[in-house]
Amino acid sequence: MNAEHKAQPIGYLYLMPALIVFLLFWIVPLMMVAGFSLFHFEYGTHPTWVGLSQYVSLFQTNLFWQSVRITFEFAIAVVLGGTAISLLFATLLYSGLRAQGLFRSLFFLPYVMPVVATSTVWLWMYQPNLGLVDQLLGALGFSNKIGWVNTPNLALVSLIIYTVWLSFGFTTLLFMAGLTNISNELTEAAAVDGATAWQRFWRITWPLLSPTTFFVLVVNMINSFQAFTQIYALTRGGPINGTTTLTYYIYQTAFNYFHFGQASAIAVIFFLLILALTGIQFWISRRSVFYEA
Amino acid sequence: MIRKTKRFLTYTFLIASVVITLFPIWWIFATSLETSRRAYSFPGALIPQLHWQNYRAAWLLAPWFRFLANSVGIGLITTVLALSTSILAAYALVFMANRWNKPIFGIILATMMVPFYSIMIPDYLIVRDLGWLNSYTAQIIPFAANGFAVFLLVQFMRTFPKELRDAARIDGVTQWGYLWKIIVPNLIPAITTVGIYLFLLSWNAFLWPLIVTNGPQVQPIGCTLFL
Repeated sequence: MNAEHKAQPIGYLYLMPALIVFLLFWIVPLMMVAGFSLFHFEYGTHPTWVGLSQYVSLFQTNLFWQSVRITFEFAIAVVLGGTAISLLFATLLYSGLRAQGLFRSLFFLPYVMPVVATSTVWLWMYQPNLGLVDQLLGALGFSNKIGWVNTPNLALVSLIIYTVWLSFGFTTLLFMAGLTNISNELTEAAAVDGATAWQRFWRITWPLLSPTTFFVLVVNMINSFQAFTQIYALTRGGPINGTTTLTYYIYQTAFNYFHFGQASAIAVIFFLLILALTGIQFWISRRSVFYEA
Repeated sequence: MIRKTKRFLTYTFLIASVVITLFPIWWIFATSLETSRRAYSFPGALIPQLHWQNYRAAWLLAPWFRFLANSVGIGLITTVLALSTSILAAYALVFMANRWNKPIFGIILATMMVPFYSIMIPDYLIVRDLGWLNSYTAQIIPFAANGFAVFLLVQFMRTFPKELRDAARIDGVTQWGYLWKIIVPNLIPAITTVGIYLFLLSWNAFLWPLIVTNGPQVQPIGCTLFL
C-alpha cells in the first residue's frame, strides 16, 4: 500500500557512480595491498610468492620498530599537547569575553593555510644560525645554534611543535562548540553554593564536556597518525630516520626504493593499527564517556 | 577589583598567545618584502621595508599562474563530481528503500576508516594501467566520491520531514524531481559545508600529486614548492 515500503531498484542506479569509485579506488586496492604484501615485488619486476616472510623480516628490522615508536611518540605528544592547549584557550575564551569570536578566528588561521606553505615558513624559522628560532634563543643568551630540523632529537620536537601550532585552533573551535552545549545553570548553582572556579571546572564542566573531549582526541589521533606533508617538507624523515613515521616509511619504501611488496606489508600493518585504534576508542567511549540524558 | 585584575590578565595572556601564534605568518609576509641582506639579519624583517620587487621577481621565476589554475581547477572539478555522486548515493540510501542499502552504507562507512597511505600503492598501479599518469584525471577521479560526504549528507537527509515526500508524491513529483527541486535547495547550507570540506581536501592534496605527476603542466601549486 505504502510506496515507501516497496523496493525501488532504481536506487541502485543512483548509488552506482559513488560505488564504482569506492570499489575501484578504495575497496579493491585494499584487497590488492593485502595480496601484494605476500609477494616479493619490486617495481618493474615480476612478483614472486613469498608468503608471510616479508612480515617476518619487517618484525626483525630495527627501522620498522623505530618508525612505530616515532609514530606513537609524535601522535601522543601532538594529541596531549594540542588538547591541553586548546582546552585552556576554549575555557578562557568561553568565560564571557566580548572578543571571543575574534580570538577564535585568529587562532584558527594557521589551520586554514595550506600545510605546504606554513611548513615552508617553519622550515625557514628552524634553520641553524640564521633561522629565527636560533636567533631568538641566541638573543636570550642560549648559544645552542645547531639547528632544529637537522638535529636527531630536536627534529621530532620541531615537527610536534609545528603540528600543535597548526591544529590547536581547530580543536579550540570544537571545544568551544562543546561548551556552548553545556547549560550555565549547573555552574551558576554551584557558584552560589560556594564552589571555586577550579572545582566548577573539574566537577561539572569537565565531565559534561567528555563527549567533546573524546571526539577531539579521536580526530586528533587519527590526523596525527596520518601526518605526512609536514614531515616531507621539514625533515624528509631524517636526520638518520629520526622522524620516519609509518606513513613516511611506506612512502619511502614504495616510491624511493620501489619495494612495492615490502611497502604493502607496512601499509597493511598501518591499516590494522588505525582500525584497532578506532575500535579501542569506540570501546572506551561506550564505557566511560558521559552523555547528558 | 579582583575581577578586573583577572580580566586584565586573561586578555594579556590571550593577546600574547595570538601574537606568538600569528608571528610565523606575519614574518613570512614581512620577509617577502625584504631585501635578502636584511632578511637574514635579526630582527631585520620584523618591520618590513615594502620591497615589492620581490613579488615581480618571484612571479617571473616559474609559471605560478599555471600552477594556481591547476590547483583551483582540480579542486573545483573534484568538488562538483564528489558532491554529485555523494548526493545521489545519500538520496538513494535515505529515500529509496532497498534490500542492500544497509550493507552498502556499511561499505561506504568502512572506506572512511581506510587510510589513503595504505592503498596508495595499488591506486598508483591502477592509475598507471589506466594510462592516467601525469594527468588531471589521476588527481580527480579517485576522489570523485567521498565516504565522509555521503555519511554527512545521509545524516542531514534523515532529519528531513517525511510528510513532505508524501505530499510531493500525491502531487505527482518523481524521485528525480523531488531530489533536485526539494531536497537539494533545502539542504544548501549542508551541501555548502560538505563542498568546502571536499575542496579543502583536494586543495591540500600533496602526496598523491607528488606520486602520479612529474611535470608542471598538471601539477598543483603545493607540489611545485618543493621541486
